[in-house]
Amino acid sequence: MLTMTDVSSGYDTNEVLHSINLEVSKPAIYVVLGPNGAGKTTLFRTIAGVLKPTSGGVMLDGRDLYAANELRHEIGYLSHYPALPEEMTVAKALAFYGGIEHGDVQAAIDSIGLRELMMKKVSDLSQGQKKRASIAKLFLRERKLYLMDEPTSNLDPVVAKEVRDMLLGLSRDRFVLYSSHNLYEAQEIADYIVLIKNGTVGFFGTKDELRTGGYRIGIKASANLAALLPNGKQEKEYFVVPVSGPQEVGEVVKKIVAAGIAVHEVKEIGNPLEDLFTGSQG
Amino acid sequence: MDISKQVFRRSARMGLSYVVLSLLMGVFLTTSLNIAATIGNVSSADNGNSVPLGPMLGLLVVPMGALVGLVITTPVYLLFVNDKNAGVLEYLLAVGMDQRDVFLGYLKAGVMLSLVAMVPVVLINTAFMSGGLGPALLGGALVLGTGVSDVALVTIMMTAFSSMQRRPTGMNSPLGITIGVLFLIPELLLLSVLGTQVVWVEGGMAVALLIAAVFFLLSLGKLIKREKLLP
Repeated sequence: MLTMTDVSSGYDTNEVLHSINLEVSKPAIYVVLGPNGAGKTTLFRTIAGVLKPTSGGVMLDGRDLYAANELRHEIGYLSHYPALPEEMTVAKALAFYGGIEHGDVQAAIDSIGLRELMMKKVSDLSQGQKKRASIAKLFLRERKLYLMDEPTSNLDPVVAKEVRDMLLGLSRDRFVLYSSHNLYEAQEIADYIVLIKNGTVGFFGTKDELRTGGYRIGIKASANLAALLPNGKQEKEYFVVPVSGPQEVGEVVKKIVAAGIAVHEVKEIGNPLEDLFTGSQG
Repeated sequence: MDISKQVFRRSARMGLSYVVLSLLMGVFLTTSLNIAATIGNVSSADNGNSVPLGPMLGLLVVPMGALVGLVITTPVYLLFVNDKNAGVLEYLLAVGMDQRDVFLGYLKAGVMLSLVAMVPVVLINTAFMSGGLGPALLGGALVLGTGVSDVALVTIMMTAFSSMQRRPTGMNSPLGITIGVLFLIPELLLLSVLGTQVVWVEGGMAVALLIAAVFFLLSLGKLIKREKLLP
């Protein structure tokens, strides 16, 4: 169990997190959302022990994270940066960290199918390949808590899905904190959502506790849609229809096309997660 | 956790040209200075007084040995900057190291690497040196003492300086050699004034540099905050 009590943290004299209280007690995926500069990375760095809080404490299984150094091995931290020695091959980079963490290099290689990259130099890898190699080092050891700061950025959709599936598997008996800017991705994998706003927790709860039904799409079509979609209404140049979520958009479009009407444009008008960012909810 | 061996190996591989250059410099300087020293005393043209030029040239090996030690450690500063930019130092903090462990790892690697260049200097100097084991041991001790202390102080200063820069680029690495040479200038100047008595200055400089290096190392935890190691 991870407990943060009145944690304030930041850089030099710039306090970024202000009295954060958070209790993560159930193995699950906790998606940390927030606009740029809200403090997500600082939150992850503080939990990872990279930054020490200026006040308050972080406990893992009831033990002070900063007093018990061995607890750090229970935490896998993926930062924005690849954190791989640039001049090494992927195999040597993993062996480098394997030596420091007393980890199982083979397990790390197998975790994300890195075999074909093993002999490549880190400096020669693409951003996506670096990200994969960087993720692999988290699997040098078994961990209780995984901190993933935007793990799917720079990854192609296939590998991104592979990573999400891997994290879903882990979340059955581990804690996964996952930050993302992709609101649809957050909706897809989150069990819980933690919203960070101006260095404080603006919302913490299950995905279902968020106000739903707030998705609205605007459609430009070749004919009036009022008869076909009676729950919608014309708002300026768009015919606006409320939908339950992104998954319903395709059904609406199919219905219009089936009626022989051409769809010129479909645009998202309102998204409850975006509303969280902008402050109209939470 | 001790990363010094990995840093040593990585620095040597990355900076192979520095390693080769400093080894060649060390061998060339020591050999030529010792050959010059064996020529012996030279008579002044003005009044016929004898000047002990030989022993003085032999003592030049001390600052020159420190210089090759400084040259060979340049890749350590470059690697520190690379690792900071790539997020490697951030990850080391996350796995339980503190900032002093990190600096100490690079410092030890710098000192180990400097020995690679300075040990041949000591061996060549010892082979040339006449007058028995005493002067040979004294010369070797002065080369290693001055060199290791100078390298230690400069490595700490350069890594600390690089960590405090908002955008470390590694362009300041030659600055390390310049600073290290500045510390050696008193020895070079006083050699012409004090003659062979300069050994006391060289010994004193070695102790002073070592004290400064240890003081900086012990103060690093307070002087440099953890966030200074982040990309």
